[in-house]
Amino acid sequence: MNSRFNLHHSLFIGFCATLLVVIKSMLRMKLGLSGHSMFLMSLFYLVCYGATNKVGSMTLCGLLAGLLAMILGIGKGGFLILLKFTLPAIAMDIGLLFIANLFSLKLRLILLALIGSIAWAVKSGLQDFLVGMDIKIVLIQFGVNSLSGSVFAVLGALLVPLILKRLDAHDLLTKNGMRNK
Amino acid sequence: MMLLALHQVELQQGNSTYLYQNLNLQINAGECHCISGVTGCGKTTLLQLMAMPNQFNYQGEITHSDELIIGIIMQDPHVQLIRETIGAEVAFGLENLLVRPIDMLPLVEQALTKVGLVLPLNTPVDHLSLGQKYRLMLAAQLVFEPNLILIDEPWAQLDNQGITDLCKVLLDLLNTGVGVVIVEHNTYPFTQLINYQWQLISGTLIPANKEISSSEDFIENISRHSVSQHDIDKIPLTMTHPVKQGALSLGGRPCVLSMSGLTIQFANQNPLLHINNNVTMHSGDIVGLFGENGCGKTNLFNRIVGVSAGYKGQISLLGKTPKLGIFGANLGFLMQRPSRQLFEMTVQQELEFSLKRFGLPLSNATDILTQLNLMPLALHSPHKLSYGQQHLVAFASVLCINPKVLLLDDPFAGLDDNYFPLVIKALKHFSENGGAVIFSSHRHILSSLISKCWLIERQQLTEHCVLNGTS
Repeated sequence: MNSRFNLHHSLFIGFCATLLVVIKSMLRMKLGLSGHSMFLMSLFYLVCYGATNKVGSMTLCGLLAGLLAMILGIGKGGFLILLKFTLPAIAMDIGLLFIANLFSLKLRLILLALIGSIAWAVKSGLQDFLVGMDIKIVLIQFGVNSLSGSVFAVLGALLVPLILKRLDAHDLLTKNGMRNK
Repeated sequence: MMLLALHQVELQQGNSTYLYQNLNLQINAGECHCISGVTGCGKTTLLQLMAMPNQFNYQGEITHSDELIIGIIMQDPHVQLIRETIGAEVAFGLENLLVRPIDMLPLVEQALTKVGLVLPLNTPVDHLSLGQKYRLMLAAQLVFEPNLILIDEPWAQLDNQGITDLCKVLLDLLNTGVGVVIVEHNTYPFTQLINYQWQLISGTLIPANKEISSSEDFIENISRHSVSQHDIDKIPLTMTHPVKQGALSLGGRPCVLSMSGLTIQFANQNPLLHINNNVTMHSGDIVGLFGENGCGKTNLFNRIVGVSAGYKGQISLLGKTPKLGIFGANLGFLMQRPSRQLFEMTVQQELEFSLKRFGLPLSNATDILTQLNLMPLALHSPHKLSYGQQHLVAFASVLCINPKVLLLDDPFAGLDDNYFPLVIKALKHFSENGGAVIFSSHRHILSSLISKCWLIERQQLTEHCVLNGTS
């Protein structure tokens, strides 16, 4: 795995981060379902990984999306919105270090999505803890968030191979992309 | 002095096949190398590999000399042009080299004059024809004085005057020690420049006999009438004559297209094209639309199919005033840039899209692919094919719906001598079954195939009957 990012990769990651924030702000889904934001996050982060095949691509995407969301005032988390976007991405990249060459692409994507959703639930738990919730409730909430976040994250991950196949057919993957893997 | 060298280079395509194997080439200052090969054999990729080796996972060794400055001119100008006006486009390279703005103007003007593109510097790039864009691309590369120039299929994009201008520029550059690599199917116009001629066969460069190869190419290309400017000047006198109203015996064939009193003009600009007399096309006709780069061929096509408005006068296609979408399966339009009309995941799906849309049998797709010898590409992505192969796929996709009228904008660009006869055969077959075809070219070609030609000279389109036409 080549560690250097080129202009093509950078533009692609920037595009994914922007699209993630734009879609999130446009749809403003008030579904009342905990963890539904993990669908878009896991989708875009994993597309970044698939298109560049580089450790760090998801963190970059999350950082950019978090900064953009913070600057544009999307969501109601304030500074914590940065954590919301970056924590799952960092966790997914750390997970990738261990499973980069293991399993099939689909299984790898699902595992990364699960790691991301747990990190996202940790962030929610941290928020709950900081506002003074009882530790038992924090743990229960963490469990519920992990479960619901995982469902949405896996749904997003399952779409990634289809998107990568389309990107590859349109010759939009660079040489390191996950084509035919 | 060595500028660039490839030593035992291998490049894998996909997971199994090799695009190049044991490829060796050394380019020294002042040398002109010409590389030929069949459509899709990897000529364009080879130029990209030479210019940007770090973008490829290759084996072997690619050496760039320390002083190397590469200018690369790709086949499709749209992938390379990035600015809005021609002045800004040519100045872009200079800006990157930190040339002072005050010094840029004469350099930009000089480069544009060299390639024969004498237009105001604020001319929008969008207003240029494909051939003019190719000239612009040349100027944008020449302006920063590269010492190695890589050129991809100039013959397909430039008219004869453009080729003459290019040869002059290249000859001057070669004399000053600049290296040149030309990738080209038709090597004849460049014979005087070429020092080394290569054939790219099975991923390896094999020396080609310059004398034999060029004369063979020329003989084979007689069928296309890809002849010199001197010969072209003679064509209207010896082979064609202007058509008088009602002079053609049409045998009751219905008129599918008529245009009269037509003027095409962009806002606040001089008229681009006039058609004073009534010009017509009947079913079974094959019409050649000929004119130099920038004379308005594509603009005329866009008006005929209804893509663009912006004209005065009358156009009647299949009895209707052109409007986008009203002709359905009766009209097939091949755009000059095939990539603009390719969007599916595989070649097969590309052809089947229109067939499904119009409720036509899907077997048409296989028939056309077989006819054009494209079956080996059926499951490939059309977006990864070479320029010539994309042209073929786009051609097949408009032909398979069996329209009444087929408009082909420069359909032979990028085709080698293997595919060329197949396209001609398909067009003949289409015409014999009552289909009407107009194809455009910046050269007078296929005089033995066409029934009439529309010549654009000095902003005027005139209709000529071809004496030895088939119909």
